[in-house]
Amino acid sequence: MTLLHLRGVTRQFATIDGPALQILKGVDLDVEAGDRVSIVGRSGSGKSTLLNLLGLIDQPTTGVIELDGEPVALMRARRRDRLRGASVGFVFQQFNLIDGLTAAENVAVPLHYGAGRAYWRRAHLAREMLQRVGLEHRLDTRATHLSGGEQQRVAIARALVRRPRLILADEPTGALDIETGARTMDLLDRVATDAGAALVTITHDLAVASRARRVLRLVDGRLHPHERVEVPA
Amino acid sequence: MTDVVAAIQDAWTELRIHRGRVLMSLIGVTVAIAALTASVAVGELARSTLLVSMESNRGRPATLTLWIGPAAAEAPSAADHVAALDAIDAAVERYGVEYASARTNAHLALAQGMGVQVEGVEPDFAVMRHLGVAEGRFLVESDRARLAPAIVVNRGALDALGGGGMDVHRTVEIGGTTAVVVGVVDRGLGDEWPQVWMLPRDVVRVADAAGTAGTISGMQLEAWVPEEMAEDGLRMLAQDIRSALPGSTVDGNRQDWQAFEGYDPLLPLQLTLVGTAVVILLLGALGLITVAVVSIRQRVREFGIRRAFGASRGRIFTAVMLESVVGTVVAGAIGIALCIFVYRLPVVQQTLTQGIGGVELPGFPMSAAITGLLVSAAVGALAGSIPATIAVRSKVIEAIRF
Repeated sequence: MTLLHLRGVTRQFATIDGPALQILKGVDLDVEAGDRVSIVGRSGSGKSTLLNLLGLIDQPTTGVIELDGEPVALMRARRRDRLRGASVGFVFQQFNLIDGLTAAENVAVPLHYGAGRAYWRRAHLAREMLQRVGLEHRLDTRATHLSGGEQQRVAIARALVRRPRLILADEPTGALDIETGARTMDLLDRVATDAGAALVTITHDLAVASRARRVLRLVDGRLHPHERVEVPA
Repeated sequence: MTDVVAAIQDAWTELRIHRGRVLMSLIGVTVAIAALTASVAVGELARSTLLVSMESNRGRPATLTLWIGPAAAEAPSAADHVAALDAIDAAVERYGVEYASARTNAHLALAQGMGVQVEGVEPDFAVMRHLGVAEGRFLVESDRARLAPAIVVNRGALDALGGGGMDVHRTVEIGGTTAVVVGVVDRGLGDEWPQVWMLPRDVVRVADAAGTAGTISGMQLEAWVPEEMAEDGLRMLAQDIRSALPGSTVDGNRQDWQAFEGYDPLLPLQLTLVGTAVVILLLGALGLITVAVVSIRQRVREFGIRRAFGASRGRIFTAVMLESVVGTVVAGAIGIALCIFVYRLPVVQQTLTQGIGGVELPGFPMSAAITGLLVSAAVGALAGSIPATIAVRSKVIEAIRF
């Protein structure tokens, strides 16, 4: 079943003193439930712009984006916000944890915008997620006191705490060393599989990209199948 | 419901995280709310104290006073006074006036040849004129049956009797008659001049026995009635007394301070106090807004994260607004508590009650506390709306990549 469906998606940005900047020029993409997709591309190729569209954070200039067959453009902003909270989990390159909160409180943040039952059980659910990423001993540690790898594991727990059907990872290993990055990707793969969620990873690291079933390359504002290259271990 | 609780929880968490900044920015609000609450409280206290003072002097609204003039040119006899008292009692009873007192005065010898002004009043007079006793009690109905008249004295009269403590149940010679002191009044400063209160019929009886019935001056009726009955009440009471005492003159009018329309002696004081407090409050709010606007720009990334995980613009606005309101309400509550604490300090109580002895200082005015709390919430909402608008205008994409 198609979870996310993009056809002819373009995105352009107005500039102050020149013609509009055309970042995406016609993106077609289908993401199935439980899918594994990597999108690679050079810096400035529009990877993050595409991720924002996939995550319902941004709207395309033209084209269609459907989530579960429902056109996103027709939704009211509030419904889109709710749908994003319920269906999409984000993992960012810079982790983006809230500094003053503990690991458990950070993981519980998405539950503040969820259904009543999940909100009232937020402490329990956050603890459970942190156990799954091996951080049960760091529940009450402030985000700023965690190592980079631990912060990214907290971010993964946060992305999954509402059991989203789509996880969007933007350079998830970009701020980690190779070994920690590999462990983080193992964990992300495992918890996404456990949750039955689709995982779309945006990266310029081919080793990270090659973990996915499908690797797509963003070139000149369009997605192309990427030829697999053996990456030395 | 969950959304509301979660929004409050978010606000509280943010206050906890940024407590240092919040504390610094709210000190101004705390001081401002304390100043505002104190101003309102002082205004209220001054108003209630002056009100009690005015009611002590002129009676409560509406107080009707009727003067009964003698029928003959010569000084009225004791029998004439008794007849006037009978007429007053009959009129009061006929119209069911709840609080009324006949009033008369006589100059009688008290001690060592010293004279004292004795005021004849009924038991209701204490309620009608806020006449509180420091010890013992005021005159009561059962005093009418006493063989030795009951008297209430002030501090000046007590001093004239030889001073000492405010002891009651002592007997004194007044106008040659033995009377029993049943209560002592202490009205503070200005109460040094000796004064004695006695039932009107006892005044007539004692003065008559002393052969000084002629010194009894002006028989009056004072009645405290509902304001809407003042006009008719005055006319009917006068008519009844006049018909019971043929040939006598009966004049009357309203004596309480509210009889003088448009007169509010406290308005200038209250306006000055509240005006000063509002200026302080505006300065406090300005400081709060400045800190809030500066700090909100440092939290753009956090709003982006929250938006990414499902928070709507409305939710972000509410959370930032609530942070401000919760903060200022807590600061306001602290300011009010500070105010109440200072108000209850013995040294402050002594200062406030100086010169108004006999008038009990009321508790801290609830209206001042409620005003302070409402104003602090309003300041929070006002100061929160600006950063909240900035917060919802921040773009999620830029915020996350901040």
